[in-house]
Amino acid sequence: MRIKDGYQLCKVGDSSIVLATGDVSMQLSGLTTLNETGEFVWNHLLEETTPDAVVDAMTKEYAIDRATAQADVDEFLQKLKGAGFLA
Amino acid sequence: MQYRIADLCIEYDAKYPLLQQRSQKYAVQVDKMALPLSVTQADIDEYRSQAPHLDNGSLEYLLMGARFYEKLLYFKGMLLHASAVVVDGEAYLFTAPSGTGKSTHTGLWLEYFKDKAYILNDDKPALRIVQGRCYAYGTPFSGKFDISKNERVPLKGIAVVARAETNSIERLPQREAIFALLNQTVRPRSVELYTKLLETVHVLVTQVPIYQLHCNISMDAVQTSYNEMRKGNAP
Repeated sequence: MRIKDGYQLCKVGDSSIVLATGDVSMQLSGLTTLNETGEFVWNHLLEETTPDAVVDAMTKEYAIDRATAQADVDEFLQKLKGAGFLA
Repeated sequence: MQYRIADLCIEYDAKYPLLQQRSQKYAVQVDKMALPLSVTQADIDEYRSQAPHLDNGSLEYLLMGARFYEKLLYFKGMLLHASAVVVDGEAYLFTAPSGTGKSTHTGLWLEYFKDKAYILNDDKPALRIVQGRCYAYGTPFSGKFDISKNERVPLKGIAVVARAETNSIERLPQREAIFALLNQTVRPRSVELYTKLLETVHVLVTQVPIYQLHCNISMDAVQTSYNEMRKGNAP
């Protein structure tokens, strides 16, 4: 599981905006923004990985327990899948 | 002919009177390096199908404006659909979709401040980051009534206008400020230009306070926006 090719993040203020480098029409209809933790998870998904590995990374980086990290990562992955970003 | 617009040296030929007249106050002596812009009769003829009610002069004017604002993206700038009023050497911008009341609101500022206020650009000020600071500029592309001054003014604040029964103003959180700016500019088709636009928006939202203004048509509306926006980014 990883982010499909053709997307890049662009930092704007405190957030990151997802830009489609291939199909520009996406930009013109709606934009996806990520906050700091969203950006953290996104960056971990740039290489092929698993949900467990992402949860591991989160618990190391942020002072939260595994259960919370798991729940947050699952929710976020659902959103990414729904938006069509995941391969 | 060469022009200086938003601190950029630009070169273009205005074939029709409308663009010629509007560009006059921006004309400069010949400079060595100028960015060329061009609108051909073929461009005008092609554009006419999208706007059949407009004459050649209006079509040339709109197309040249579009060329200019696209070029501006390469130089840490962008356009904003806004009315820009200046008080005490600082620019206050009011942005909203057409017809909401931006010019009505800045018109009230003129009534309230009289000689102490003037309109920098009533339709599409150019915003630009120059040496790390944010400025608003008059341009020849200022809407129906050519209300603009060929000046650069430090940008004090931007307020998104919405009509309401009573007057109130509050700071917008960054994420909403980003969308407010993106909604009132022209979003480019290419990723390269879109990235440049976002870089400019990034600096703007981190440096310039952006507000949501709810207002009616009254002097109290002016006091509401001015009293808050004059504070700028002071804590």
